[in-house]
Amino acid sequence: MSKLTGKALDVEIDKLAEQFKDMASKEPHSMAERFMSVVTFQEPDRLPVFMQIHDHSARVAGITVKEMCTDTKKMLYAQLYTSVKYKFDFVSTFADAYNYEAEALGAKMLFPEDSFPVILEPLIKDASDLKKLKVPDFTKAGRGPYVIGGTKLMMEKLGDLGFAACVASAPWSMAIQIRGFNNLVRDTRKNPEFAHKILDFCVDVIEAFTKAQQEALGGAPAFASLADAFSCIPPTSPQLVYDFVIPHTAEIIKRLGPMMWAGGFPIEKVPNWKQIMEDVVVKTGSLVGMVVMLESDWLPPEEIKEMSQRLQKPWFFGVRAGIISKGTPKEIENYVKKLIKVLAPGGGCAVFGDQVPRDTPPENVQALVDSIKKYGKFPISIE
Amino acid sequence: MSKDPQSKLREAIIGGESDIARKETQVLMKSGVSPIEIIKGMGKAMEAVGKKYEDMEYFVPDLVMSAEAMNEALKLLLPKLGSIGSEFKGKIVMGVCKGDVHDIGKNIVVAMLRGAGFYVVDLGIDVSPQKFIETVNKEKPQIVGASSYISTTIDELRKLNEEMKKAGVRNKVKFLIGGASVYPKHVGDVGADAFANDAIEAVGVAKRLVGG
Repeated sequence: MSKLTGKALDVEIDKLAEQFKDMASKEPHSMAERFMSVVTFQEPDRLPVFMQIHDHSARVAGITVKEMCTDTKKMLYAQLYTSVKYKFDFVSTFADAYNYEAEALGAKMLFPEDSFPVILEPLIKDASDLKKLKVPDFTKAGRGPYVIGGTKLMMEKLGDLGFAACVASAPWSMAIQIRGFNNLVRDTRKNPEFAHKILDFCVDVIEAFTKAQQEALGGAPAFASLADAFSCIPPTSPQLVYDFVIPHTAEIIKRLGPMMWAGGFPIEKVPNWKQIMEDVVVKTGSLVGMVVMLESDWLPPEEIKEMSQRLQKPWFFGVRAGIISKGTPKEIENYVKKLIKVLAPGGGCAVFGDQVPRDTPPENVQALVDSIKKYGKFPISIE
Repeated sequence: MSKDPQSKLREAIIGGESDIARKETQVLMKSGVSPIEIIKGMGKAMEAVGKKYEDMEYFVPDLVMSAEAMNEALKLLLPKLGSIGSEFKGKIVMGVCKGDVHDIGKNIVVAMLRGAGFYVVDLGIDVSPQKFIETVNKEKPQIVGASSYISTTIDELRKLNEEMKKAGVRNKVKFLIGGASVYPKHVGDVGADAFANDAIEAVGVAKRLVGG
């Protein structure tokens, strides 16, 4: 456990915030400007640098994962520390994004010392349990105050150089957290009406959680996104994506306005993958399309670029997770260079680090950041 | 012409229909078919499920439902088996490592291994090294299988290997690892003998480990 507490922690946060602002203020564009340029098919000074790096952040900052997931200030400290260390453009303010809603509803949680929290048992064991659940007040329930406070504190410290991201689970992933994977899949087959009722409730909860985060920022611009790894294929089937995932995701996006949905897409080369990718973005109205890969390069970036331009939908391309954790810095550089050459020209696409594992060598993370900065300068000029 | 119970059981497992799988197993048991013959039939059904997954006709939810159907049938059959004889390809003690409660993948692996003719002792989730060691001493398996879903619990696989060494059981078993956060490189890091990327691969690896 970190000895950094109280006043000493406040001092360190302030020091890191100043370092981040000093670094960011010397750049021609802020993270928000780069992000907005990319999603509106314009060319910023360079591609934004952002990644999902939560438990690795705890490791490099010298705190436990439990501390990061339970203490707002320690979480912000770890994220600032990581952003300053690797020179990211973005300071994340969340950790285990899939648990917040279920926990606020009263799910029993386990908080291991050096691992992400886990839900011990599903809240909805039968139909009567759903009736008992009420949309929580996220300013008070569970770790609502931790999430809301973290984003607010980050924006207070960084001002215009901060980039606020309001993150919630998407309906399908939240439904799995409160009902359990097997139970929900069984419901979709045996009692689809009940499965839809659970998902309807999830939409209400996610709306409340996202609005609570947005309201806490007092109208400051914030980017909202829905985390939905559980809805990717093959963890979920294309049929379930079309019948259960897309309709409820479309509903929450309709209620909350433009937001990014990170789900529903294939992470392996499944039949009809291109049509699925197109449908999940178009049918839900997600602001951005997303793709991540694990071990194999089954998806040519040219296909994503073509789809992005044809549909005029921005797309974020996750650098293959396997190469970040296991490749050499040179391999990472070459890989990123190849992606940027295809994806970046003309705007509309960005590359990012997807789920950087805890034990990733720091030199690999640095290689990823440096490569995006080196090759992502506009106009793109890569031989 | 109505189908025979063995075909109905096979279809129930492939279709992930637990209630029908249970019912048809009862019918087969009442008609005098031996539990081991029923399990062999179920194994063929799980092979078909695996093939559909490899062909991307099936996805994880389909595997989960088929595994549930198979496990429902096994609940009726396992108590009737008596001693574990040479009918089985081998014995495996299986569990999710300490600190981790994600068992969807592990459950699929258990069902596929059972379908492939292995006797599997399923220790469930958040299993301590002590529990693994106690069970190894009691059950005398050829393989210990442990999974880690999250990257932060990979250390637990390493600890399990060390604890098995200290307890003098490591050299008596092959150690198979897997899970969403585990990659082939972890075999060396953890000190395991083998890695499987998914349930289908786990069956082939387990067969190889027992020399089958």
